[in-house]
Amino acid sequence: MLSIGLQLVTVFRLDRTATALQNRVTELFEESREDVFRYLLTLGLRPSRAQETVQEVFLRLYASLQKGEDIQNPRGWIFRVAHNYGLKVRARQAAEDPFDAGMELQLASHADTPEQELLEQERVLQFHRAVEGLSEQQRRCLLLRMEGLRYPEIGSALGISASAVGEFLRRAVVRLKKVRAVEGSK
Amino acid sequence: MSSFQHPGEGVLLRYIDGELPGRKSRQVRHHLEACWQCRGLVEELEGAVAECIRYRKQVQSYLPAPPKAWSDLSRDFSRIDASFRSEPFWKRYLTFPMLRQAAAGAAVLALLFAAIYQLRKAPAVEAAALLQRAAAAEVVRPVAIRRIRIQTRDIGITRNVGTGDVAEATMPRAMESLFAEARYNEQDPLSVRSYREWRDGLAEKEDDPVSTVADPEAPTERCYRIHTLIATGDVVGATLLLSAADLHPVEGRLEFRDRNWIEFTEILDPPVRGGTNTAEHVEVPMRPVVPSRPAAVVPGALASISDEIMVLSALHQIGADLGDPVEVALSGGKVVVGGVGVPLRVQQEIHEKLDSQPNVSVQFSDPQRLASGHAAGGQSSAASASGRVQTHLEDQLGGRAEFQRFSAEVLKSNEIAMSRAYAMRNLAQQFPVEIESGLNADGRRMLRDMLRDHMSHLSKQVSDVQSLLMPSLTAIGATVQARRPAEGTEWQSSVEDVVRASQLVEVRLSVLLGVTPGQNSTSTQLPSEVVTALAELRANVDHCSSLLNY
Repeated sequence: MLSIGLQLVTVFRLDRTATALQNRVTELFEESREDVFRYLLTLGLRPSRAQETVQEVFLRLYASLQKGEDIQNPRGWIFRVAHNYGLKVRARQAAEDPFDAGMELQLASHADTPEQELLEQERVLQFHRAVEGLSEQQRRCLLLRMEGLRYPEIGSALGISASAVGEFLRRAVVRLKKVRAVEGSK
Repeated sequence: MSSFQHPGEGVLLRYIDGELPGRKSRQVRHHLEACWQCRGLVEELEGAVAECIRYRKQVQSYLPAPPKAWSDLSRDFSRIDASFRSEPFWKRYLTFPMLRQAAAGAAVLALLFAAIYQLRKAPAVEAAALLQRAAAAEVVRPVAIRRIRIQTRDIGITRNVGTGDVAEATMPRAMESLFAEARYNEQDPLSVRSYREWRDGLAEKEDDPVSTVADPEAPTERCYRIHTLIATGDVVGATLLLSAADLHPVEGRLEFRDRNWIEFTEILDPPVRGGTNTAEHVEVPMRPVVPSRPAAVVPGALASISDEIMVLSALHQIGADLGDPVEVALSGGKVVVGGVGVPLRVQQEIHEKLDSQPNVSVQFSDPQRLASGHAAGGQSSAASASGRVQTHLEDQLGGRAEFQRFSAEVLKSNEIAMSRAYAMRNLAQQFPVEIESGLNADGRRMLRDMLRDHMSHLSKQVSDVQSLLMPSLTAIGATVQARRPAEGTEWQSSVEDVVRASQLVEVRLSVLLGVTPGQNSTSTQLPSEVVTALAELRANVDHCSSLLNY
């Protein structure tokens, strides 16, 4: 009953708050668009599709807020929608031209670099292989955590519980810890 | 979590990610303070996390940039606004999920109004009734000093509640103003009384249905969760968790509309709540044996880091910083010096050095201080009396070590007896005479079986305590004095007498064995008071047993 009351109040305040809402979403868009764009690239979207998807996600955010949806954590919401919408876009794009960032090749391209940087690149390459070797769920949880999402937000994005997120992250981090230890002992 | 149970990697990862609930997080933090092994593990995990962040930066630098400039969203905003406004009024506002649901259910609500009305009222009644029961239990629960952790988004303090020490009232101003804003009693936030007073003072409130949740500290135990919501004002609502076993408040939380919050939780020293409820009713001597020194606290003047350094320097001068577990902390506007297991000689030296310093409070909580007869300023003569009795007992039993073993055994038996007495009281409160008379034969038999089981354990424990203590105490002249006769014609009222007598035994034993200071007893009275209290408990137990077997 309380929530309905609050929503009614929200309805009658809409006109006055529309501008503030636009400013807020624009602010969020400018803050987070690059992060969301890169996340969508790691999902396998082509850059042009990823950019369109980012804009669509923020417009959906605006529309949802306009309709009175109570979004406690906009950043979590944005990544959740980006993830789900991104998967749909990827499925459509797969038939056309799948995108591969070619990360391994790029990370391995260390010609003309000083020895110190070469070692650093080698280390990052090993780490990249370890990340790629994680299960899909572990990798998704890790990538979203790197974007600053909390466990419940990651769970919401991936459709799993927060405790499952904790378990996937534990397995991922323990595995990466071992890789790091092996690298450190070299 | 004891210091010896290492948390797993998953728990440590959730800890460094800030994903553990407040109490669990504090437990892990305390464990890490003591455990190098786990601290090493945390460092390894943090190293892996740092590597992830480096990796992310590296990967980002190789990813392609957006192929074109980002477009301005404002045109699309206008399009969305226009589409929103073009919809009919009713449709526009029914896009709100809650309103849509409300409209869809309106017809059904109308038909079932009476039933729904009852359902809606039930939670409020349930919460109020539960609070009433918890308040009654709180009134009769033995007064014990509790350590409460009060945490806001930015600051946290720990305070002892029930000391009567004015200095304990010191609270950061920001925290104080939050309590004032909520009109919530900041002196004793984690109490049923405070929650009820706050709730009763609300003009508009709505209680969620009372639910049961796992105890945050002992997940195998259950708690009742009371959640009160407020429609207007700065406070959104409050939550109180009550232990399902004895309605003891274990955690509370106030939430504000500006996303601020205050959480208050009881700090339990090991053994933690869980398993059995025996530990809950034992008055662990958490209060300092040496009374805090209000005279040493200058009103309005708070200790600073300089005072802390002065104290550390003084400890250094007397060599008290060379391995003894002396702890120094800034707390409640004072520099608090304390520790467990600090040798008496060192404690005495620290008192001599620091007792005269302003804004310094020296508090050692070892029971052995009283047992050894250490005479600090302000210690009661009864403490000396108990010390003398203990000396007698030590002589009889064959030394200090024997006395400590004996003391532990007596206290353990008493703990078990107390837990049984409280369990019986819970049953007596849940099944007063009029309710019991409404039970069918099976229900009544089950109730009586439970009571008899409790009573038989209680009776055995009382016998154990008596057989342990009586020979030694009668040997030093203890005699049974005049006592209240056991009375009561119903088992419910008789159980109350058993609980009262058990509490008296507990208090007397605590003084006798030096785990808490006494007040008015002398060395000759104390043993007699103990045997008299035991005899009274025995008589009440026998009387109650006879009523139950009737």
